[in-house]
Amino acid sequence: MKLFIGSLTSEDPIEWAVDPDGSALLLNPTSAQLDALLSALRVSGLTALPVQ
Amino acid sequence: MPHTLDQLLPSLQSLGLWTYWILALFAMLEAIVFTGLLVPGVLAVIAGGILVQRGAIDFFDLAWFIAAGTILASEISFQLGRLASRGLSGRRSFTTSRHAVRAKAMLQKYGGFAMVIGRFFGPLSAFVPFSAAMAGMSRTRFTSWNLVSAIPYALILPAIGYFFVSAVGTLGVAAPRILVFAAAVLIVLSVMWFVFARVQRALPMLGEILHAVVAGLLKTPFMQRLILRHPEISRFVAARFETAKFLGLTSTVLVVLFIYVLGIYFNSVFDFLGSPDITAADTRIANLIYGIWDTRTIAVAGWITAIGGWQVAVTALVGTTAALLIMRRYALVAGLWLTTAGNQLSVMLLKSFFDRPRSALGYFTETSGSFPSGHAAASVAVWGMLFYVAWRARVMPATAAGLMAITLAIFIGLSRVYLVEHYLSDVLNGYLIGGLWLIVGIAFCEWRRKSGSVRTTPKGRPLAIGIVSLTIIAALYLASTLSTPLNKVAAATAIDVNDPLAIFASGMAQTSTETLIGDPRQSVNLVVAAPNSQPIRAALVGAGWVPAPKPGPGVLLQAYWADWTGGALPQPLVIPTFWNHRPSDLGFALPGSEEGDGLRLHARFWRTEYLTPQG
Repeated sequence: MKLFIGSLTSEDPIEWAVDPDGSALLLNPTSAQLDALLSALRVSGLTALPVQ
Repeated sequence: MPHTLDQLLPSLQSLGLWTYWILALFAMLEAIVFTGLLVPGVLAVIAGGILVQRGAIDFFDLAWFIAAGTILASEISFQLGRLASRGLSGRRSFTTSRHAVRAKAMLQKYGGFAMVIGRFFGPLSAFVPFSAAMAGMSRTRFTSWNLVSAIPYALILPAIGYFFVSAVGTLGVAAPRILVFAAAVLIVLSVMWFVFARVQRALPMLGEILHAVVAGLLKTPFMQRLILRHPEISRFVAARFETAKFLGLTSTVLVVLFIYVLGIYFNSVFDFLGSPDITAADTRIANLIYGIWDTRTIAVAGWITAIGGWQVAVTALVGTTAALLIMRRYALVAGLWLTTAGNQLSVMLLKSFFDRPRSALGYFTETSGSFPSGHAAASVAVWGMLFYVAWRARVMPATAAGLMAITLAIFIGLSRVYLVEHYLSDVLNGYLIGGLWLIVGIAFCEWRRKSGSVRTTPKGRPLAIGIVSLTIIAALYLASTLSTPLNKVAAATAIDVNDPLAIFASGMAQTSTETLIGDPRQSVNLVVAAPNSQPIRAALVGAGWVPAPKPGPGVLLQAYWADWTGGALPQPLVIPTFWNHRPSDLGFALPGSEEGDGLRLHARFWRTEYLTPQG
């Protein structure tokens, strides 16, 4: 199996597109949001692990 | 609130208090005779109004700065006018500029009120006080009008910018998106034409003013004493501004320009050698472009890049040489080939010296070193010289030749970066090398021209034009038919790992991502083992996530438009961030996750070279 690394964030999509200096607001996901994403991947039979 | 103007004027907005000083400097430079012909101060002050509308700066603070800048500049122009009037030997005006003529006419018609009118008409704001001094306006009268005229200027122009943006923001929602791109192209071309036309028109006038001011300065008692005390140095300095000979003003300007470009060149080399950030940014840009390639743009870029290649350049050189020989313009032939040979030799030596490997992602197979870009250097040196020759042979006007030379160089450089044949720093460095040899070639041709050795003849001109036309057709045909071998991108070497999380614990893989310029962004927070990207996509789509398309230029323009107008994006937009210098391979947005502050959940994934035992 190939390894893919991922990142889940909460962010403003437009700010990200038009802000060249990277100061757009970005928040880390809550543990519930991250768990939901991991669950969605695992339900499909993939191995998905959180990275601390 | 619209945000796009942050990007149109990013540096100004990010400068904080300095924004006021810079805008005041623009207003000031426009109201000084020497710089007023070149600096679009009115546009800058209107742009200041736009920043006020954005809430970046305060309206009345801006007005104070603008007023102070323009008052000070008018005072300088007035003093220069007084100085120049001493050096004009009885004449009371300049005749080589329509600005000077209009300024004089306005003064005769409106008196001091011409100061108020002139401030709103670009270079006239400099020529009115200059002409007022030459016409003998009293000091007290000038000062009064100088102060009074600054008030409407400092209040009305920023207000125009303020209300313009409000109106566009309201109307913008209804305008087709394609207009944004068309407007951007139009603005770039207009600015280039504006600068070139102004420079071309300004040169005779600037020469005349400079001559008068220097003559006036030399008549002052202080300068007279200095000349008597240092006669040798005085003669040498005076000779550097002589306009009739090559070893006067022409050579002075060319030498200063050469030293300036050489300085920038060494600076770029030291940056390249000493700053890992430059090479890292180069890699990220190359990887990002590779990730958003599309076949139509590649076809256009391939055609443009062929124009900068040796086959097309040599064809153009041979045809132009034949035409010049028929017209007996031997000095232009020598200058053309001096530049070409010098540029080619320099690029070969520098490529060999730096020996920078090419990106593995290049579209075409290239075997020479990457730094500097030979195409970029040739686009400036060879094509720049060809356009210079076209101007000197009176085939095209200076403005058109200059504009076409710059446009071609920009597009050839961009094509090299787009095709990942070169990194951005290779292209910028190549431009500088080409620029140095272009200055050398122009200097040679101007030296021969001013030495009087040029014998122009109209004989054979139709034949010469016919040859050049055939050459252009042949060059364009070559550009469209050349087929360079394509580069096959090798797959990354796989690395086996037992524990997926061990790649982070051992430091093999970085746990943070970064922006294009290397600023840290979000952390990596999950790792997935999958045979390919398809199961990940299927799993997320099944959970309600929406795949985001690759963010090409069109999508980014739509984002700018949505930002400007406050409209909604037509599709999920997930801008890539970089992990290990590579942009994310997959992006997803979760509709319905938007919160009150406009934030939405985004997921990004990167392929790695790591394989688990099952792989």
